[in-house]
Parts: sequence; C-alpha cells; structure tokens
Amino acid sequence: MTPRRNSHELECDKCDALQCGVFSNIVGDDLASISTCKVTNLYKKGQTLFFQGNPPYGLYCISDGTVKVSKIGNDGKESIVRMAKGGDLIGHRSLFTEDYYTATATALEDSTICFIDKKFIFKAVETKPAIAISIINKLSRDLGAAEKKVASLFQKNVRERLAELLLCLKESYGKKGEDGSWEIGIKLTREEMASMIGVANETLIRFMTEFKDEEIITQKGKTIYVINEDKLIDFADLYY
Amino acid sequence: MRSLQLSHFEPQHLHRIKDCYDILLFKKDAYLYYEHQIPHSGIILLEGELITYRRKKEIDRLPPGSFIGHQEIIQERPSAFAVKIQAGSKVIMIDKSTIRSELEKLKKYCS
Repeated sequence: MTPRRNSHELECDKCDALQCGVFSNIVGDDLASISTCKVTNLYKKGQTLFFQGNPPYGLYCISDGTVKVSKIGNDGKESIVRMAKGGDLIGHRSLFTEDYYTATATALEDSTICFIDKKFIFKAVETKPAIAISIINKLSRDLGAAEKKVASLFQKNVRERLAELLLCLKESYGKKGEDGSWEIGIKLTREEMASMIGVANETLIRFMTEFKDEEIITQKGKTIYVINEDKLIDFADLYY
Repeated sequence: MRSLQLSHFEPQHLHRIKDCYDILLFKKDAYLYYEHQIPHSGIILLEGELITYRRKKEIDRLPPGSFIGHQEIIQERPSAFAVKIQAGSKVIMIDKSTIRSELEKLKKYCS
C-alpha cells in the first residue's frame, strides 16, 4: 500500500487500516477526538520511531507500512521481536508500564504512522470505555502472541519455526499471484529472519535452501514466494 | 531557508516549569522528529543538548532552556529540520493535547 502524499492530514475515519485496527470499534465523536489529538507523519524506510532505553510519551498507530520492533542484546546483536503493520499499535506496553522502551521500532518501508500522546490516551482510557477495551484487547492479543512465540522457540525445531515464520509472513504480507503462489511483500534480510526464529544466519540459509529444493518456496532477489502452502503448514506443525 | 522556530526560557522560568510537568531522561541518542515531519510535542530542553539537522548536515546545537516544536504543532506545519537529542539529556514534552487545551483557554479570553 503506497503511503499518502500528504500524510499529515489523515483523519481516522478515512484510514485504510481502521477496520482491521485497534480502533475499529470506535465511532463518532470518540474517533473524531482521536483524529484531532493525533500527529500523523510519514516515516521513511530506516527511520526510527523510538529507541530501546528511552522514555515513552505516547503511542504509535500504524496507518500503513511496516515497522520492525527489535531488541539489541548486550553483544550488540539485534533480534526482531515483532513486526507491526497497518492497524497495529506500538509503544503502548512501555507507556502503560511507565517504563523505558524495551525495544527499538524502525520503519521497514515508507510508513504512515500516527502518534497519540500519553495525556490523551490516559484520559481516553478513563473516560471512554470503548477505547479502554480496544487497548486491553490489543494487549491481551499481544500477550497471547508472545506466549505462542516463546512456546514455539522451546518446543519446535528449526524447520518448524521457519515454516511457521513463512506462513505468518504470507498471512500478513502475502499477495496471491496468477500461478497460485504467494509473493511475500515484505523484504527482510537473512539476519532479520534468522533473529526472528532464534537461529544463526548459516542455519537459516541451510533450511531456506532445503525448502527451495523441496519446491515449497522460491526466491527472486530478496522476494520470497510460497509455492506449496500445504507442505509449509505440515512442516510448521501448527496444531501441536 | 525556513528558520528554526525557537523560543528560549530563562533559568528562573525553567524552575517553575519543571514543577508542572514530567521530566523525561533520554538515555540514548535519538531523533525526536525528522525533516518534513510535524513534531509529536513541543520540547523544552532542561539539560543536555538538542542538535538540528537539515539535509543530514548539522545546523545548530541548542542549549538548555530551548523550546522547539510547538509552533509546528500549533500551525500543523512540518518542520524544516530534523532534531536529535543527545544521550543523557532531560526534556519536558508539551504534547498536542496540552497545547490544544491551553489555546482553547486563551480563546475564551479573546472572544
């Protein structure tokens, strides 16, 4: 999705991500109040929304584009903990715990992102139950996803984790081609993909080659195409 | 070249302002906003340094007492400069909600 040219003027009720986002059940004056208090900006690829270790003073709602949320370890290695797309909130957890950011958020592509300040959010949570419920819902889903990821890291082998990651990317960023294959519309480096499933680059390359040899996926440059989704689902062992 | 919309607070005024708002400590260097973005908040620098950039070139280093970003929020106009905060700096953020509510109060006195 191409970010709007004049992204600063985006109203919430005109946002393409409204229906799939956190504020999808917010209407009328409540939605208008978010529109008037938010600041919308275009973040170019590589620009950072916030840094690990710095204090939060609002939260971010993604209108379109993709943002990676990553942690830097003591060894300087980056691990992607989450990918966020249109409709997602980021920075909310640190805002509500009133702690410093525990991760860094960076635009993976040109992205239109709205910032909603802390004062407005806290007041909205107190006075508008619909907004409070939406945020609680989002936090709960985030917790579920995090638990699932932790379980996956401990219980699944590398092949299963890679298959699960590719399916997840296909669900979030996939475009079906005429030949029935799915083009994964987000380009990640090998290091980024390896960090998402907790393996070394060499291990990722080995398993990606295996998947290509078995004609489950193919790759043109940095773009990955899922050819055999059924086999990928089998490999991912989704229903363990 | 559009100039940076900069205000400045004297130390005696900063003392009073500190009592009214939360102080944020930035532990890491970070861009608060980039060129052609509207700032999220007005920023009052209490300690440390803010560096302004234009086309990736450093333009100025702002000292404590500097107040930036508020004009762009009021006028809903993107900044001509990127602003980076140095690690160890302390700031007060005057967010859009606060700016809007203070402007509403002022309008009552004008009408």
